[in-house]
Amino acid sequence: MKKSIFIGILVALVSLSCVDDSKKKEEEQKKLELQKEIKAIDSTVVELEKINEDILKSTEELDELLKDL
Amino acid sequence: MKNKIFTLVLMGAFVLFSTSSFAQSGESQSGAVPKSGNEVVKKVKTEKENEARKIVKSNKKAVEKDVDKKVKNIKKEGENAFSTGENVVKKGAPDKLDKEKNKVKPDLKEKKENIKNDFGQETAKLARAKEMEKKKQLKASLKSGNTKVVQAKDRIKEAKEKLSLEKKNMTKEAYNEKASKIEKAELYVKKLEDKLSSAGAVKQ
Repeated sequence: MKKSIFIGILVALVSLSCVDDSKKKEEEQKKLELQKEIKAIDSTVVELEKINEDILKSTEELDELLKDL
Repeated sequence: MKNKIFTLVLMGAFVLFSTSSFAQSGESQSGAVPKSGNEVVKKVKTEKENEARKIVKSNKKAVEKDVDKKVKNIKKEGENAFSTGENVVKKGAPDKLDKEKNKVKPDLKEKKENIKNDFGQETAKLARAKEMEKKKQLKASLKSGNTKVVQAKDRIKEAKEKLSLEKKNMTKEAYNEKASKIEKAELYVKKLEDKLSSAGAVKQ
């Protein structure tokens, strides 16, 4: 009887650790996904900034050229 | 015999439990990998975001409600004590307030932990807001660029007409200079048009 109780406790502990492990993995996964998303957004923002600056610069240069005409 | 059956049942329960937990973890992992295109990834992302938001919201609401309730209870008790006598108020209410303050501190700690366990949701929110802002800026500069292109085309047309009229009265050098300026402006307009069209594609 003692043996079976011991085994039962052992099994319960192992299963609990398994559940905890899976939860941790899930959380890690979420974290990683969010980090990836943030990185992607940041790179998009940098790209948008570059394009915006380029357009503004070209517009200014065109303005200067038109003044000469 | 009974012991054996008992252990067998326990083992069976363990197997069921572990398989279900592993299946859950497997689902979460496979959810991160794109199965069939952007739609699936987007769906998974939005679902996870919504879940995380719900959890954070519910935690915040629960803590806020709890604090509100406690404050109301303290006020009520204080009012009741006032009606019964001065000594009761002096002794009872401040002690209770201290106790409740001490209780609220762990609640705040819990709240902070919840924010920490937000998996960077706030950062993602900020990043998305910044992206939106940059898109708006780009939209505005695209609009102004397009109007500038239209204006430039009109101006170049005018300059060309003027040059053709004044050609007879001008020296060859002056004419060439003016013509090259017009050509340069035309090239710039084309360049800007290309940039604007490519930027429009990026924005979308």
